[in-house]
Amino acid sequence: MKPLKILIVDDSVTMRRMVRRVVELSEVAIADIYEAANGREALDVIDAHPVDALFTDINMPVMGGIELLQQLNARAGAKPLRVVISTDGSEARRREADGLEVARYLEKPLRPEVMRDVLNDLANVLDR
Amino acid sequence: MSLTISPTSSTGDPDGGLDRAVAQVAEDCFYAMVEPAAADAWLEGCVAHDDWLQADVVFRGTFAGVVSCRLPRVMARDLAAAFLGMSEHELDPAAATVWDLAGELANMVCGRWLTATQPNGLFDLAHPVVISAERPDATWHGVLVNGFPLALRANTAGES
Repeated sequence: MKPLKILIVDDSVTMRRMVRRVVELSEVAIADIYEAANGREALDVIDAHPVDALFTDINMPVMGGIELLQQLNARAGAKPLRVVISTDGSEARRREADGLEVARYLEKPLRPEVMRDVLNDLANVLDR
Repeated sequence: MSLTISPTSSTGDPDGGLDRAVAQVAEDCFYAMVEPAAADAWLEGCVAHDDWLQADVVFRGTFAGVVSCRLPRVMARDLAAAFLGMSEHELDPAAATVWDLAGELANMVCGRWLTATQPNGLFDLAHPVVISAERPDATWHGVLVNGFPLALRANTAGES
């Protein structure tokens, strides 16, 4: 299985560290883990380092997760698999994300085992 | 557009929504136990702590307001250590990570509370603001998290 390149997008440094830790503890082969504090930084990272999957929060300063996903969808070419990790579990927000080709919508707080299972699913999808 | 916060519109926790939100966050994220506390006993528990952090999360949408959490800094340190798989002795209570954790705790409590209160609502949450704070008084709603006192408040307001 090809090692994955992951991007974690969240305005909380603690949340990014937690997600990074869970990614590193999963049994999925990881090549690189990048981080960004908002959607604008995430786009800059993707321009410099194409990634296989990104995990993004919704509510962030500068550029939020929905706008990040919209901008990614507007781009030509291959796009990373997208997973939302958000405190917002409302049906309205989930419907909004569904329209943006989100692979999974996860609600904070997030159990590490849930993240591990999602990573495994993403790795299987990318390996096909 | 400005947001006017009226202290008179504060909710204690009449329907237990804040308690449920805290319990879900504490258990799922930190494997911590949340217990209700009688007001007098809770206030007495607060006296044991001099150093507090307060995290405020302003939200707008179907309705607007702010959710606030006030907690002893050492509690924030212990939760941050649990969150990151560290021993509490490995984490300085003054570390930026501890402040950030306080904000993320309030962020998650706010999100859970809003989702449960208005499942069909749509909200935008601002980045948490964390400040040093004094010991909470009886105007706060209190619970115990792993034996530590946690103060909660949800203020709803109109937009101007």
